[in-house]
Amino acid sequence: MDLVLLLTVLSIVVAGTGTALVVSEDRRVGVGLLVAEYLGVAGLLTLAGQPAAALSRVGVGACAAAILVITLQRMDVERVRSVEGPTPPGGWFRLSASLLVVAAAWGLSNSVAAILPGLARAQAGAGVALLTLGLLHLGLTEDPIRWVFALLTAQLGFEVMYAVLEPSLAVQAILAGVHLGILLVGSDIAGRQKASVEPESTGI
Amino acid sequence: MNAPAVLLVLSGLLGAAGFLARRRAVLSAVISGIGAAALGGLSLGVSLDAPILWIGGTLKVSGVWTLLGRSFVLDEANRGAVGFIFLAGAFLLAGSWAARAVRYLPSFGVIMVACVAASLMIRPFLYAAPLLEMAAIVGCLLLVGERPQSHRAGLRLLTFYTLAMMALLLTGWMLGTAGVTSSTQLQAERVFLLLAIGMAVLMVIPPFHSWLSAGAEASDPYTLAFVVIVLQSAGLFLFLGFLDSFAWLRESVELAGRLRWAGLATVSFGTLWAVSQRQTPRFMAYAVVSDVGITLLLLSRFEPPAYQIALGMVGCRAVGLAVWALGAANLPGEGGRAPRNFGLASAASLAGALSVAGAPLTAGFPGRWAALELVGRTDVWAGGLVVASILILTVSLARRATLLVPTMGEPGDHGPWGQRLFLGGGVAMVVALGLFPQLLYPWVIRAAQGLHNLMP
Repeated sequence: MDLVLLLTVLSIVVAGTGTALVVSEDRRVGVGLLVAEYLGVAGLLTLAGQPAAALSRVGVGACAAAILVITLQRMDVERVRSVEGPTPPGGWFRLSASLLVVAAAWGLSNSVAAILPGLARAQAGAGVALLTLGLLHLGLTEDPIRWVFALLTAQLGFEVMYAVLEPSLAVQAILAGVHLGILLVGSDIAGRQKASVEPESTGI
Repeated sequence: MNAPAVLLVLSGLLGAAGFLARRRAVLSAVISGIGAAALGGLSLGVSLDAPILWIGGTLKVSGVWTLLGRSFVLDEANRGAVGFIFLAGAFLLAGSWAARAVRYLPSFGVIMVACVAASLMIRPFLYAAPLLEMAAIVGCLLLVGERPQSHRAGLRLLTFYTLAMMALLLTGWMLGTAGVTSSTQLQAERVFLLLAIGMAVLMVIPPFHSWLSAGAEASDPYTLAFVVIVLQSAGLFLFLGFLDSFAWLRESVELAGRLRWAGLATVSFGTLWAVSQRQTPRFMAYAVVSDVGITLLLLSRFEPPAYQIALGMVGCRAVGLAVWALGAANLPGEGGRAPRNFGLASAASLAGALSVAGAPLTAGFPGRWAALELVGRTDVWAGGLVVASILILTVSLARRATLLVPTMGEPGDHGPWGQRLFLGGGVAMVVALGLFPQLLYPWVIRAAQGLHNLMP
């Protein structure tokens, strides 16, 4: 298959996964979509000739899945959902906002690809879409698990573009460490939220 | 043997030791405080690339450590800054037990300081951004407690720092690899925008200050003071690094103008929002924002004395905030937890707060006075705002102090002698540095002595 076509298809899949992550209400489904995002980004990086960066994303995606699954198991999802703060906006609103964001991102992809040398238009589109979807998601939630989804989505979007500019292994390793740090913080805060509704639990 | 590896590995070991001793607050604080001070002394004093006599033999300490293709370098250009960050960390960590801070502060605090030190040593320095993000992650773990507002503070802190990391990495790439200069005007505009976003986050400039005000409501005050001081210092050093490395940035009239406007807006916003707060911790958070605004006004001058005063103000802010937090943590009510050491705690809380406000006879005043002399010469608006911020914040604090006065007379000064020593010493330090700023400023200014382009 033509490389450009493959990149375009993969970029659309990645942007679609990001949209589904914003719309999805079930956090267990969200974990699956986040892992799919990691795999999609790894695919984009492989096609861009960055196999080491792609491999590190696969590894971090696996770690993310493990950490989030353990966190959700400990949280007793249904119970925590009932004590959350404001109800997030409805699914149709989130879907339409996400589609608007993706359309805007696709429109911006040419300009971004022109600024960053070596970046294909499809990659730029996927990167900007993930980045903006992550920011949109951040604006819609204060739930720590969804916050993790949002921040990691935004960061993956940035890395799709930055990995082409800076392929250094050291930087990739530090960025992978940042992913794990975000997961750790989100998991810790989610655990504390559970502790705050269970008086017998203790924290730091 | 190389110095960066020794500094970073020993920091990790100190963090581990502090973690193991976390249930013994004094021991944990002593380990991390003395350890960080020793590392600060090492980074300032070690002879690099020269033979040193060591147990009958000779030892050569290299200043370069290469890891995964990138180098960590300790040299004359950055050893002052690395030493400053370790010593500032040691100052705060040693007092953590007296403030009954979060018990993980001594261990995680050393790790956080090490992340910032690593960000100062990494080459090219543009890769400092992810290391600062790591420091923010550790800071986030320290800030988050059981109250939901502290969760919000942690989430916002990390969100902002992640965005700043992206902006700074792209800025670094544009400046370092893409060769953007003032002659490429459109590209230079993009660099200004990205740099502005990154630095606004790192220096807690509105609207990226909301984690600080949320944290002031719910997080431990001493821990919050530690996180703010370490992250802000790192932000200032990174900005000075940008200016030192790129001549066109420090000669840019546009950048100077934007820094000035940002400074004016930040001082006004911080001062007005501070006086409108009911809770003292939130007042302090906005007073810090106002203080940062004055730092921005100084940086906009692009003059060596302005950089020196800005660095001195960071040192004084560390002293003032630490003493305030030490006192606040020992007061009942806002931020405090136990009715002990009322008199000394009230005095410390008040002295520290007045110092951050820049009141006369406190550590914060000489820096503001010097800033006033420097910026007020040619910029009446800036000078007027500096004076107004000192007056408004001090008067507001004086009104709040009436709430503390009854507690000063109450019998309660029966805490451990070490705690009383820290509280009393803190008050004495704030007053001493207000009267004799030469005790601190020459040392703090050394932190930037290696930036030869900024301070020839």
